[in-house]
Amino acid sequence: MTLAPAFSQALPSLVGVRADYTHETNRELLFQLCAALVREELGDQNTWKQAGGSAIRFAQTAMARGIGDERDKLLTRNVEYHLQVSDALERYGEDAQLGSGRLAVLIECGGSGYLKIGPAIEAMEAEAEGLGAAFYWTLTHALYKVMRLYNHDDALMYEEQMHEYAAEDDEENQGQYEFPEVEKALPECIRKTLKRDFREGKACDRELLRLHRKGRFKDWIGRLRRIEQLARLPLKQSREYLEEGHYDQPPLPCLLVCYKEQDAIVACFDEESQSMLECTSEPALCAIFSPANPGEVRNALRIVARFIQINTELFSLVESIHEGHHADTSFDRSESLLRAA
Amino acid sequence: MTREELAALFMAKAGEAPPAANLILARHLQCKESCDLSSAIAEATQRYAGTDRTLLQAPPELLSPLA
Repeated sequence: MTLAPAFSQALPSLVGVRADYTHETNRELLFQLCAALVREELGDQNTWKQAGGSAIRFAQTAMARGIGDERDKLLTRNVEYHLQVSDALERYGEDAQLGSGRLAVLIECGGSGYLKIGPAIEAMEAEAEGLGAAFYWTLTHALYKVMRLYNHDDALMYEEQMHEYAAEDDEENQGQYEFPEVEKALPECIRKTLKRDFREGKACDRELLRLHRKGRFKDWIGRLRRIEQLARLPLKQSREYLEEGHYDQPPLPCLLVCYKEQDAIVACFDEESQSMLECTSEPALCAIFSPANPGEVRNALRIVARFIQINTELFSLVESIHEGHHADTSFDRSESLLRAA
Repeated sequence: MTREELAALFMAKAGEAPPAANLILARHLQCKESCDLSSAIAEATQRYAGTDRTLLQAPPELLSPLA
């Protein structure tokens, strides 16, 4: 074997070249945030020691401590959330400084969770007629208040859109359209209650769930009740900033709810998710605050804490449902991740 | 160090002038030309690294011929 002779100019030496840089634009805001995290008891001198003098690392560790290891693991297993605190928000596709000493805490969803609820609905309907539907509708309406879902509603809208496209297209192309037939994929109890009066339905559902709260499905009903309680008050997000941001679309769905594996809802989601990452989406949660104002800091922390609590209850319920029915415990969440086309 | 002392330390740091290296980096990050240049380099790297269609030519003065 012949080795090439050493050549002094071949590779520039990296000795003396810094391998990393830490820069802090608006560093006063970063330090104010660190002080606020200390005041809210999320960080202490040990956190500061571990951070090795880096304010960014201190803030990250303090916030991770606030979320907690168990909750972090549960959420990571089920959904892809990104939490960031920033001094800029998106405007027309570019970052724009918030100014006036303000920061934004954002949670963005990069990959939705997955709930196959069909077997659970079936089991509850076998226990009492209407119980499965009551559980489904109550969960759906509670979650609508706090996060974007992808469920039968979105799939029905997608199907309607497909029919509209087909009607507008040339006659020779119309045979090429495939319609997902979402309504046929719904369990009978959901189909029957799809167009019922909202208020009457809600009252019936509440009564049924109350009757069965100590029965066979008490754990699921208990978790549902906690989700409902947490979602009762709207998360006071800084909507005005999001509306100014001119995002192309609402937040990416945090949860895909289907009835069976690869049913019409999953098929619609697969089609729609191809283009979901092509444009800018609102974050799943946004709260603006001034780190120098303790009231605003507490309010922002409360909003984030409640969102995380709701998600913790939700994904504990999801895991319990999947385990309870040996649904697909081997489900690989990455299969449901939103994919860029 | 108590919580109050740590919070006071952070508030004192918040009031300090940023280090010179920080200012240079911050100035570059706020400079449109610098940002455009770094985006162009990042885009070019992605475009060329992701395909085998076009290879970046190594500058001849850097590598000696192996033959």
